[in-house]
Amino acid sequence: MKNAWSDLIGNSSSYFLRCEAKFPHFAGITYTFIYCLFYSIASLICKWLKWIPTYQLLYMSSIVSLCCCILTDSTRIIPKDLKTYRLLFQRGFIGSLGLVCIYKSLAYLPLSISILLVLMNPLWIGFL
Amino acid sequence: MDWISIGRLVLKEPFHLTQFLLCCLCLCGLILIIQPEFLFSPDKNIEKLQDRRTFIIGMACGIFASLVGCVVFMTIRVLKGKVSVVVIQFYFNFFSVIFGGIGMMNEGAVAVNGTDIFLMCLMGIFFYLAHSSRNRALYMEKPFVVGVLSYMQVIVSYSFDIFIFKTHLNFISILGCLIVMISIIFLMYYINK
Repeated sequence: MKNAWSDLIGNSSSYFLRCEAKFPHFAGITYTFIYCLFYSIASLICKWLKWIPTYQLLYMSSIVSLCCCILTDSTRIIPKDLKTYRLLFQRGFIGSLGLVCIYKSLAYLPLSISILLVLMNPLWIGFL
Repeated sequence: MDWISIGRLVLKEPFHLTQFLLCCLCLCGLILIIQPEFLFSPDKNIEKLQDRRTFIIGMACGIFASLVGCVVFMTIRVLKGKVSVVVIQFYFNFFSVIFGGIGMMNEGAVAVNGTDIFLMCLMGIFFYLAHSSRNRALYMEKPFVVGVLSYMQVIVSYSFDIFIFKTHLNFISILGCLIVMISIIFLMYYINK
């Protein structure tokens, strides 16, 4: 299982790295489109499973993603310097907190208002 | 819009008026797609649509989540070149499991069958691939480009609504989709010319 997954990820990564080298200007944009597509599919599944409590969905999907990370590359999980370690903890902790807030916002507000807030609100930071 | 401001103020990335105008156009399109009740409802009194306290809590959570999102993007940009995208994803999922576990202990869990477990696993894999792609995109592109292009997610979701859930879209939503796509295409052209 681990070898099959590592091979699959390894082959895919090599293919994408070749594409990145060939079309460097459009690589970032392509990755963003892939992100949008996969995220929408995951959200679609989430909508199908709306009768399951959100925390249960968050817990289960995170465990699967965590397993994917470990199967992909478990050798470089602990960084060498302390600053990087702190940044990774910051990303993990704050990101998860933000995810919980998104779920709460979705629970308390209509979907349209929640999406609008999440996508456009930091514009105000720029004005501040 | 968010990552434009952050990228310009903190990361000192070049930012032009044309980019700002195109992002504003994209945002207008987004508003037309989403059609928030406080702008498009025939009854403009928000208090009648939602309980006031619930509405304020929801708004506060949404605002906080949005601010947190900016910090996350900034952190990923700072981590560029130091660690692989999988390592960033690992720490995010590690904390999500903890938060999810704590929340599940408070809210409780329901019994699920084999199909539901399979779908949840599939969801986890897709989230993993999505976040890895986004992290890689942030490594390679300016944050505001990733931010603006992420609006495509709304259009993809609407496509799912139309073709899978058979949702009827009105003219304003379709107009909004077109505005978002046109502004994104022009922005891509402007950046890469």
